[in-house]
Parts: sequence; C-alpha cells; structure tokens
Amino acid sequence: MEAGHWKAPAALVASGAVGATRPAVELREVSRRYGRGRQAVRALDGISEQFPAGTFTAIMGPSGSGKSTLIQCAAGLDKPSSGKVMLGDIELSRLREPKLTKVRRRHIGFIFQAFNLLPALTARQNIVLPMELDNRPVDRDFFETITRRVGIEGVLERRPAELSGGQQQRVAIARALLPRPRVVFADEPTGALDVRTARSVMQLLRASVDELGQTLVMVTHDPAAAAYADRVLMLVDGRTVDELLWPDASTVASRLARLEG
Amino acid sequence: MRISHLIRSMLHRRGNIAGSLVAQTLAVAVMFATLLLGYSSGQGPGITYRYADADAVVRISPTRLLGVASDMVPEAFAFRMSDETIQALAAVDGVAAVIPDRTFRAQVLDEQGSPIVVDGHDASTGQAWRTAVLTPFALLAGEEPQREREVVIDRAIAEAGDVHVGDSVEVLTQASTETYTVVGIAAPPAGDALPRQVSMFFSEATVEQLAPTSQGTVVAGVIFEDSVDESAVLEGIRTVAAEHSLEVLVGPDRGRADLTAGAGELGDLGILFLFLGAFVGFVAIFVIGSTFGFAIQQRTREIALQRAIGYTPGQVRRAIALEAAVIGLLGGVMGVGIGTVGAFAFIEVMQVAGRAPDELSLHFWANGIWVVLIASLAISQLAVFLAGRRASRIRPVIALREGAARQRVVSPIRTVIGGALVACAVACLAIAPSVDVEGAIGISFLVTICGTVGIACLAPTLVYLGSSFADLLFSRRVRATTRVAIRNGRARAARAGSAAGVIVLTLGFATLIACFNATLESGVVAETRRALQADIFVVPQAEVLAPAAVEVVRDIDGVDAVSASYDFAGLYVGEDEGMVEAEDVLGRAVDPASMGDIVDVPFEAGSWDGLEPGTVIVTAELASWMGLDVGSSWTVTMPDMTEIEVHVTGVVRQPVANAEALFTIQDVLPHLIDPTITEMLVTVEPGAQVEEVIAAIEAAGKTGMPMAVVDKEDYIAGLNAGLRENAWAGNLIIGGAAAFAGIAAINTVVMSTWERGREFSMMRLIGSLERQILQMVNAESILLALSASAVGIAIGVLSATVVSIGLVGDASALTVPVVQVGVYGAIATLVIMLAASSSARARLRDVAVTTDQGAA
Repeated sequence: MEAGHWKAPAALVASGAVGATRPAVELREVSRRYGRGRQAVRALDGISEQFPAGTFTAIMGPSGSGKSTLIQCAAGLDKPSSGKVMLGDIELSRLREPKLTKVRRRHIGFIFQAFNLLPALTARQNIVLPMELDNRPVDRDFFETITRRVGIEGVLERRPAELSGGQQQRVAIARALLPRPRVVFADEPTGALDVRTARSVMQLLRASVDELGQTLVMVTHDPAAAAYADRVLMLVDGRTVDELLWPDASTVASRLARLEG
Repeated sequence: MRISHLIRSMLHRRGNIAGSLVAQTLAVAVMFATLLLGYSSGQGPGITYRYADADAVVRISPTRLLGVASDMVPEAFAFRMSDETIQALAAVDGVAAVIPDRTFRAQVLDEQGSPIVVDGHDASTGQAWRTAVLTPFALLAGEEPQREREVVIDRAIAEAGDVHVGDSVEVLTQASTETYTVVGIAAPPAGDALPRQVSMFFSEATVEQLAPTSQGTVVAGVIFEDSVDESAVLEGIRTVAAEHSLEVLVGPDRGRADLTAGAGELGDLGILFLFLGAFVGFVAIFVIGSTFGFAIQQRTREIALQRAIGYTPGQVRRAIALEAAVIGLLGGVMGVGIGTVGAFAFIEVMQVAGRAPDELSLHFWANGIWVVLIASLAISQLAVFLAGRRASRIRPVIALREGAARQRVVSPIRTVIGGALVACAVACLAIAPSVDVEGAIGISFLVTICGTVGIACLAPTLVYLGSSFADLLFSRRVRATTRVAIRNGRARAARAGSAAGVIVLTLGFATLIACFNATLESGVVAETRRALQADIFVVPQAEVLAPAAVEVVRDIDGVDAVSASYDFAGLYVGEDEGMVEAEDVLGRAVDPASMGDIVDVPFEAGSWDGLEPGTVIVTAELASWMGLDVGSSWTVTMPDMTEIEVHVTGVVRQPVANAEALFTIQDVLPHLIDPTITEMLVTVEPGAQVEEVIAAIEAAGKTGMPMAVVDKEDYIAGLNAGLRENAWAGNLIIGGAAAFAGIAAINTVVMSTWERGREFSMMRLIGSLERQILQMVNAESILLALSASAVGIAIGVLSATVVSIGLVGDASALTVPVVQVGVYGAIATLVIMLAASSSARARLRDVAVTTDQGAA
C-alpha cells in the first residue's frame, strides 16, 4: 500500500485512539535549555505531549525547532531541564544511572540515522546485544520472525562493513524491535538512504506498528516518510504548533513550508 | 558481557590497542630488567677468585654476633675473629687446615720510590704464603718465602715493574718501607693476578710483624681432608660457627668474602638498579595512564554508542577494566621476555664499559615473573581507573551528534590533583633553605616530581589556555597553516596534553640531573675554595701512607702547619624499642690542634674549639638520627673491636669530606688495624713558594713514602673529575627513563595523528595541499614540544636551585649546562615532530578525499 493511504488499525479507531489510550510516553511541561544566561538556548519550551500506545507519530519542524531534543528527552538519552517524562508509569526524568539505562534497554528501542552498529560484531550479534546486556534470553522464534520480516535473514553473519546502507538500517530496526520495547524512537531513520530503500524501511516501520502493536515515534524532515504516520506533530522553537492526523505527503509538505516561510 | 565480544572489539581496534600494548610491554620490560639486575646484584659475586680452592670460607656474622634483628648489617666495618675461633675450627673432624687470611696493605716501589702500578688493578695486598693454597697461586719461578725479607710477587707486578727472581725491591707497608728479595713469582689459575688486585706473599715471621695475630682475622679459608664426607664436615663447621657467631660460605657464596673491589661494587649497583627501577616504574605508571587514557578518549563515540544501546556505566567500566587486564597480561608476558634479554645485554654493555664488575652475572628470579605480572595487571588497572570512570559517564546522546564529540578540557579531579602537586612543589622550595645538602638533594627530586606531575595533570588546561592566548596574540601574524595549528591545539587540548605531560616529566628530570651534576661541581668548588685554607694537599700515592709521614712533611722548609686525617669505619650498636640495631659510622680522625685553622665549616652548635681527645663533632643528620646534642655521650666500637666513649662537642651542617663524625687522632689512631693517612692539609709559611714546598714534599716521598702532592686548584680539579666520573649513574637513570618516555610520547603522537584521517580528508576536499597539511602538523608538534620542553626545563632548573642552596646557602652555585639542556629540548622537539610528520604522511596516503562516514 502506498504512503498516505495507511489507516490506523480498526481497534485503534474504535477505542478513540488518540487521547483515549493510556500513553506509552508522556511529556509534561518539558523544557530543555543549553548554556546559561544570555547565551542560553531553549531547545524545548514547556512542551506537553502524549504518545499513545500502538500509534505511529512523526515529529517535524524547521531546523532548530527542537525535534531531535524532544526525542532524546523522551527516550531518556538526555535529561530535561524541567518537567517530567513518563514512560507508562515510570518517571524517566527522575531515574539515575544505572537504573535509567536498564529501563531504556528493556522498554525503549532506538533507531539512529547513522545506523550506529558496532563494527566489530556481526549483524546477529548486534541485534541480540541489548538482550545480552540485560541478561535476558533471546526468544529464538521472535528473532527469526523479526529478521525474516525485515529481510536480513541471509546476512546475519556479516559485519556492518559488508552490508549496504539499507541492510544496516534493517539490522538496526531488528535490534530496536527484538526486546519488544514499549516504544521505539527513530531519529531520521531514512536520512542516509536512497528513495527506494527509504520507502521499504518506512513500510517496515509501519508494519511493526500494525502487526506487532509497536508504539513508534519518529523524527523526520521528509514529508513522504511522515505520511506513513498516524499523527504528525509540528514543532517550532521548542513548542508544538500544529498537529495533523493521517495526512498525506503533500499536506505535510505544504504545512511545513508554511512554518519555514 | 561476552569475552568473545571483547576480543572481537579489541581485534577491530588493533591500532588503538597496539599503542597501549607497546607502552605496557616496555614498562614491564624495564621493570623486570631492573628487578633481575637488582636481584643479581644481591646474589653476591657469584664468582670466587681468591678462595676458589678453599672448601669453605668463614668470617664473623654481624647478625649473629650482635643479634641484629634485620638483615641490614654494616658492610664497611670488618669484624675480627680470635685465635681461639681458628683453633676450634681446626679441631673439627675432617678439616685438614684452617688458614687465616690476614691481609694487609703492601705495595712494591720502583727504583725512584714510586709504587709499581698495574693497569686496572687498584688494590695491592700482602699476605702469608700459606694463603696461596686457597686460590691457588702457583709458583712460576723461584721458591716460596721462608725467611724474613723474602717476598713472592704475582706475575702482574713482575711484568709491570720488570722484576725478576733474585731482584731486591722496596716494599711499602703500614709498618715500614723495607727492602725485600724477590724469591719467587706466582700467578693464579687464570691471568697474572687476581682481578683488580695484585698480591705479594711473605713468610709467616714477616707477616707476624706486619699483621700481628693479635689484630685478629677477618676471613679464614678451610681446607678439607681428602675423601671425607663433605656434608658431615660442613655440619661440624657450622656447629662451631654457631658458637662463635660465624657465617660459613661455600660454593659461589665464597666470593662474598673476596677482597676484590667488584664484590663491594655490587652493593652500590644494587642500589642504583633499585633507583632505576623505582624511577622508571613511576614514569611507567604515568605514561601507561596517559596512553590508556588517550586510547579511551579516542573511543568516546564508540562508548557513547554502547551507552545508547544499553551498556550501563558499570558495564562500560568492566569492559574497559577487562580490556586493560588483557593488555596487562599480554604486555606482562612479552615484557618479561624482553626484559630478560635486556638485563643480560645491559650487564654485558656495562662490563665492557667498565661500569660493572665481572662478578656481576645474571641470576634469573623465577618468582619475579609473578611479581611483575601482578604489578603489570595492577598498573593497567590503575591506569584505566580514572579514565574508565570518565568513560562510563559519557552520555549516550553523544552518539547521536554529528562531528567530533566535544572533549571536556578541564577535569575537576585532574585540576585539583595538579594544583595540589604544584602547591606541594612550591612548599618544598620554601623549606629548602633550612636543610643540609643531602636534604636539599632529596627536596630537589621532590620538587621535580611534584612539579612535573602536577603540570602534567594540568597540561590539557594549560595547552588550552596557551593556545587561546597564542591565537589572540599571534594568529594574524602567522601563515594560515600555523594559525590552524594554534587553533587545533585549543580544540585538541585534551589529546595534546597527554603528549605534553610526558615531555614535561622527562625534560624536567633530565634537566635536574644535568644541572645537579653541574651545580654539584660548582658548589663543591665554591665550598672547597671557601672552606679549605690549605695551600697544599697530600694524599697517598701508594696503598699506604704511614703516620710517620706527618713529621716528615712538617720538617720541610716552608711548611707552616700540617693537619693529617684518617678515614675509618666505626660501629655503633644501640637499642631501639628493644631491638638491637647496628650502623657503621663513617668517621674521620683529625688533628684537633690544626684542623680548625685550616678547615672552615658552618656549625649548627659548638665549634672547633671544643674538639679535643674524648670529644667528637657530628653532622646534623647524624645528630638528629641518634638524638645527639652538644654534651651528649656516645659509645662507638673501633676497628679493633674496642669501645670508646666520646662526648659531642659540635654539630656541623654538612659532612666534612663525607665523614659523619670527626674524632681526634689521639682517640682513634691506637685502635686502627692498618692506619694509613687519608690526606694531609698543609699551609705554607708567609713568603714561602708553594711550588717549591710541593717539590720538596715529593722528593721526601721518594724515600719510601710515595705521596701525591697538589696545590689547591689541582685538588679542586681532581674533585671535579671524581664528580664527573660518578655522574654516569644519574645519566643512566635519566637515559633509561627518557628512552622509555620518548617511545611512549611517540606512541601517543602517532595514535593522535592517525585518528585524524577524516579531518585530513576534509581539508584536502576544501583545497589544502598535502604539503600544507604537513606544515600544519609540524607546526602543532613544534609548538607543543617546545612549550612542554620549556616548562620541563624550567622545573628542572628551579629544582636544581635547591641543590645550590643546600651546598652554599644560596643560588649562586646554580650552574645550568645550557648546551646540554638545549640539546635535550631539541631532541624532544625533533622526535615529536618526526613522529607526527611520519604518521601524517602515512595517513595522507591512506585517506581518500571524501567525507563519507560509512563503515571504515
């Protein structure tokens, strides 16, 4: 099915998806400042958002709008200057190491723009690494399901240097999904890919939401990628200024252009 | 955390790992080599010359005699055993003969009255012919001495002096100079003489006159009967030994009793190796810490990624610690092998250079392997402790950022430690004026250690500040590549600081040693000129200069006053908290009537005026250690084992000619076994010509009292020559540490340059020529090396100032060998520049002109 024509699962609609389902992640008055005094930069400015379970949310905005900062705070990779980040009933923003890392690797998946696979390990070893770090046994059936679904079952013993960009990103997706996290965050997952590969990756991500009930939050500057989402949030100057539900690519593009204008 | 992942990761980063492994291996190699050298020195000579044919050798055991609790027994004091002890040994079943080796100083003079000198043989001794069997010396010509005034000489003397059987020779001994007839020529099994020593043999009657039995025996050789059970005989001897406080030496241990100079040198070498090992160990910890820390810095992005994937800080620390342990173990094993070969080669080179006696041989200490491996593991863990903690706190968000991860330049812990060390150095400088010369030497090293390590800790901050300052002042006046180099210094301050720290440390110590040697010379010269009022200095030209020489010199026209001195080793036995302790006392017996007029030394208490029979003047250090003050009573055992009680009449700040205590000749001379004048200080009458008096003294010496006579300037020149001769030990230490640190600095620079492949690639992309990139790299390394060298040299010079203060009370004696120190700085700069330049050239050949950041 083409981008822009995806519909939310029936169950999601019937339940009054947005706003009704307990959010997988919630930001409450979250601010993030860098620097001090006059030179301080306010990357997030008291933002409050919910990311319902089982939904696919895209975050967009002009350069410097705070979208990467939002996703980093939401994923527990960065600490907000104020406000709360809730992962279900866990307040991420109050956790300290090593508990924060343990919560992250168990409940949060992350897909990077630059794939960020460990070069010394094979694809298989990269995928199971978070589970091994958590001393959790790998569900072999689920592993095979995921790897087959993302289409990398034939390259599992290769190292990242021996894989194409698309294959590396698929490995990264499998790594993020295998632990069955509550939420997966993706930061420009198609940024380093060509158009065709990007499309296939977006289809995979969409399928993870539809078939596995995964919650997915994605930062992107690509309207075509955003069109795969259930919801698109527009950020400007660290605040949410607009929201689109199940938009198509051209709607996203025009809204974005207006913001940047 | 799987070991397989760790190994894969390490193999993938083998370039990064190699640098750390090189540093670790080198450190272990040097430490193990010095450990082996120290152990070998401590094993004793391992070769027996004089007593090679004795089945056993016995001598007094200070440990048993005194009941001293520790093994630190005095070396210089020669304990004597009685005739009764000799008889008890001879009575043991299976013993054929016990031969007391009563050796005394003796020297053959030529027709002009000068001693016959054999090259490389400094000592000349006389003994009874019956002791020849202990080596054995075999007669090559003539017969054994049976009557008085007969002598058998060794072949070395015969050839050096062209002496033959039947010739008459003058033999100088402590007792007299007499004419003897050469009745035989003998030689030991290998060579013409014992190593470093020539020997002559007399009849029993002659020896009884020259070295009476009443003086006691230091060493006795034991010959077993043929076909006896040696172990049973030894058991019998050991029973006697226990009753008479003897130690029994068999096998290679017999060499410990040897009179050759080599046996004594081993102890000094052992101390040298200890210092070398300790110093290099200190440098090693610092260098390994720097290298490991730097290697971890290079992995910031990778570690951030690990954190992002889910490594907890603890897992990051454990992974780093495990990696360091693998490197520590590998480096340890390789270092042991290299160190063993190195120690062997070192001994060979030292022996060829004449700096180590032939008696030094390599003894392999198997347990030392475990010691070094454990130390290697411990050092590697210590080295990564702080770096690992820093790495575990790397925020995972850094993995998401484009461009180089920003290095925090100012580490609070490093700043605090560095600041504290620098403050400690300053504090040490402040107390320098209040200590004596030995204390000053210690403080100068402390200042250097604290100063260089403190600056090394602060190096990243200083590099950052220095680069910022230079950018502000000079960037518009220099060409583009230099401008970029200055700004790179600021951006890469943390990395540059690692290399800079090593340079500061090494140059600091190298400069200290160079200035120390030069200042010591200068200070000794200044102090000798000031303190000694004598016009002429007389020292023995032969083995012996009998006390009678004093009157001979005093009677010479033009001589105003003569003050003779006798160096000797006394023994102090005391109790400390119920434990017996013994220390030898380096004493000098002086003439109380004239010493104060000729030698002017600063007193902390008392004066020369109080020195008379029954009194002693001690150094401040000795007084402090012994708890003595003016008026205190002190009992000292003399070489003939009698005790004398003296009262302290003065405390001097510094030793006088290395003596810790100045006694009167009247108190000491009767108790010296083999007294020989150490030196005579002579003043001439007003109007007398010094040169004429010198000639007259030399002529008088030709009558059987060979004397070396020099004026004050020649005397000082001789002191300087001696100091320069001894400087090799310090140069060896600093050379070893500098070589190690130099390799480590090269290591760091190469690693640091290699990781800049992408930066070089981007510079090429925007239009830089390869030549310009190399200019930039060269400018960076020159700026870094010159600055670090300057700081290190400054610290070394400042530390050497303390030595001058200790010597003469102020900085006037400070001497900086500018050329030598300049060469050090130039070498450091050149080495760093070549390392960076070579690495950059190699890297430029590798990188493509691209900005792709895909997998390498």
